[in-house]
Amino acid sequence: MGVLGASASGSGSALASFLGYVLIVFVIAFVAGRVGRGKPFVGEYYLGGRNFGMWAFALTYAATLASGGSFMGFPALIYTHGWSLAWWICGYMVVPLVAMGLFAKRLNQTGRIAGAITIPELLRKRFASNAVGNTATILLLFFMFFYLLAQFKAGAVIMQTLFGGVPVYEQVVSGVAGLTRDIFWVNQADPHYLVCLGLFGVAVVAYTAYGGFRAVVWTDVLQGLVMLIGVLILMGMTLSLTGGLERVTEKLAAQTPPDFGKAVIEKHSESSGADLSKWAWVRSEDGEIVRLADQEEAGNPRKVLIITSPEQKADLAGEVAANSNAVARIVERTPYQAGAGQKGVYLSPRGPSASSPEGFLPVMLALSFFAFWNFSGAGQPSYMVRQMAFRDTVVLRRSILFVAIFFTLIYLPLVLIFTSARVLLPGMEVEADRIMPEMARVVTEQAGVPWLAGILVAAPFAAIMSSVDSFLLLVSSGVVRDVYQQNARGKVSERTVARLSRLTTVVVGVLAVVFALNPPKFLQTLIVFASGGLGATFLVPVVLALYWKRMTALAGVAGMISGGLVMLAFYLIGLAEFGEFKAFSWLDIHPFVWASVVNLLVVMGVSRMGQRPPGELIEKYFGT
Amino acid sequence: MDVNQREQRNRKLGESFRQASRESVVIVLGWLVFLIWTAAVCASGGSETDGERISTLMGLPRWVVFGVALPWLAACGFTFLFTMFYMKDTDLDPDGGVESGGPRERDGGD
Repeated sequence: MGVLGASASGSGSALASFLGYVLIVFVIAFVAGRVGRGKPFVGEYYLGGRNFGMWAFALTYAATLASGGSFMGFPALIYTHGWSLAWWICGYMVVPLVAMGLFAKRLNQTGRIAGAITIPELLRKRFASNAVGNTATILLLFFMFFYLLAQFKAGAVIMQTLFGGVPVYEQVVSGVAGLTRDIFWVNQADPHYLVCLGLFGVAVVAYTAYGGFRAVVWTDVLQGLVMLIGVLILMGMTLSLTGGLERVTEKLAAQTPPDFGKAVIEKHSESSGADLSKWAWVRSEDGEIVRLADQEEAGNPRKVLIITSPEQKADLAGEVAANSNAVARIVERTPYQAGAGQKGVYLSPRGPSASSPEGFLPVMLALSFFAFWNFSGAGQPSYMVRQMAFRDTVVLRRSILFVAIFFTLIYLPLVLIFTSARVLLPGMEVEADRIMPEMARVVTEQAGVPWLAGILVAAPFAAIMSSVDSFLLLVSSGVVRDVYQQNARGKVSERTVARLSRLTTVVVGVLAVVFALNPPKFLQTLIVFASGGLGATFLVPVVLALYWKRMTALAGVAGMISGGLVMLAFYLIGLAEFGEFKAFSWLDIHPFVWASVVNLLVVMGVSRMGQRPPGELIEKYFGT
Repeated sequence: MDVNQREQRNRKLGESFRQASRESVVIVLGWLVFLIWTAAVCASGGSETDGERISTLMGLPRWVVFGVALPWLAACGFTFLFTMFYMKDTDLDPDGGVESGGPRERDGGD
């Protein structure tokens, strides 16, 4: 299959290099677990002894922030909407400065003064209030679980791409399909997905449960480096294959968005060898070129993607000629709502859109994303907890600079790579989420180094792993530290806490796998909801708890609840408006912004109305 | 901790708090500058990409160069200056490492 095709199968050499990478992750986690032995358990297991240097702190922060979305959803968006994604993502230019510099110093210091291991614990002690701590724990566990589900699913999907077609894997899949045929809930999942989800779940849960935070951070270092190297190699190979940036831009300028539609596919004769599978290219009766976008079902018109650019049609002539025994009769055709037939639209800052006449990125939405990346990122407890783990402020200063350079070398090249993908792989709108592994496969095969695909695909896999292990530990710490230890009567032995922590990590992981067996269709929306919900809940109360002496415990509770509820309300309005679980963006502004504004007003209003906080708390956390 | 030690601890913590507050204000102002810069250039960049009239520089659309790449580099420069010359080091542990990393009794309370 040539550059223009797409395949679901992996190669043996790519698989071998990928498995080698996973093995190294296990070795690192094992060593990290050994190093942590003999140290006070809770501080070590959940915070690595608060002693991380620049490489560990910077790379764990960067790797956790760059979750699976950066390498799966983001490339798909770039492919679909072109250079507008450069504007969409450009808030990341100041994310390290804002998300780390804004309050890492105060957070770390306050965490040490309070002796807090988790964010709910920090809030509980800062205000000497169990109500604040319990509210924070409940909201954190609620939102984090959606994250875990989504990331487990993404990990399993990438493994499917890698393993597909490998004989041993296919045998295991057929065995598992037979074994699970009669098991309720499990039998609803595709056996390929089931096997990959199981493998991914066992791997991540095992090394996280064994090694704790230190293992998570050390593996993050490796995963961060893999992401960086993977992206830079992919960029070099892509530019070499396309003939350079100038040429890509020239070709992109000539492209117009495809139309979506339905077509009846006919064979010239029953005995002919026409390819009617998903992804196949077929010519229509009136000379159009279409790509089949779903699997064949008897009697029904097929979903198709109709290519509209004359240049792309010329490039695809060979693919269509190879499938000349089939012909499509287009019965339905829906053009993009913004950018249809418009050359140069993939180079524009607003970008084409299939669903909005305003284009993909209206100005107000771009502005609110600039705020969202920075402040929602700053408000995530999984990143906050890392800010409690660095050794000193020298480490912090160097890490901010390091992460700024890291993001520059990741996000700008990603835009470049996947706008080039439009030139190399037309018609991937059929399933744009597959563009990253497909690009890795195509460019390495063209360069004669197919084994390298395993390393390149390891980049998104590394991003997912580094997010899953962090979230897993965060949920586990919420249960053990903020629920069990807080409510246990008297002292609890170190050994009991150690056993309970590992057990909780495993149980949370298993629960996430069970729920991820049949994830809801709107899972991607739930990820955005969960991340926005966490930011809207925690950012304002945590920042004000660190910087505003006048803030009260009641204001903290009211702020967190109002932030979370406003976020939920915007999604419920979206559900009523669009008929699906989707954010309603009032005035084109992301709901996170509205929820944070309400949170801020509530915290300030309730604090002003209440009594001043006790003087000893102010002295303890703010000095004089 | 005697009275003098306590006063010294509170004075140092207070100074550290005020410095962190000043740094936060500079960060928010920096964020605002880059927000305005990128929005001003990118929002007006649509006309350059109308149909076949593509205005490029170094193979990139001009609005990407001046509205994304250039501010991104400037943001890296600002981050360097801020972290190396403006951000001050401080004692993160004014109580001298007394913390409850291990098992502990109940705390807090309304």
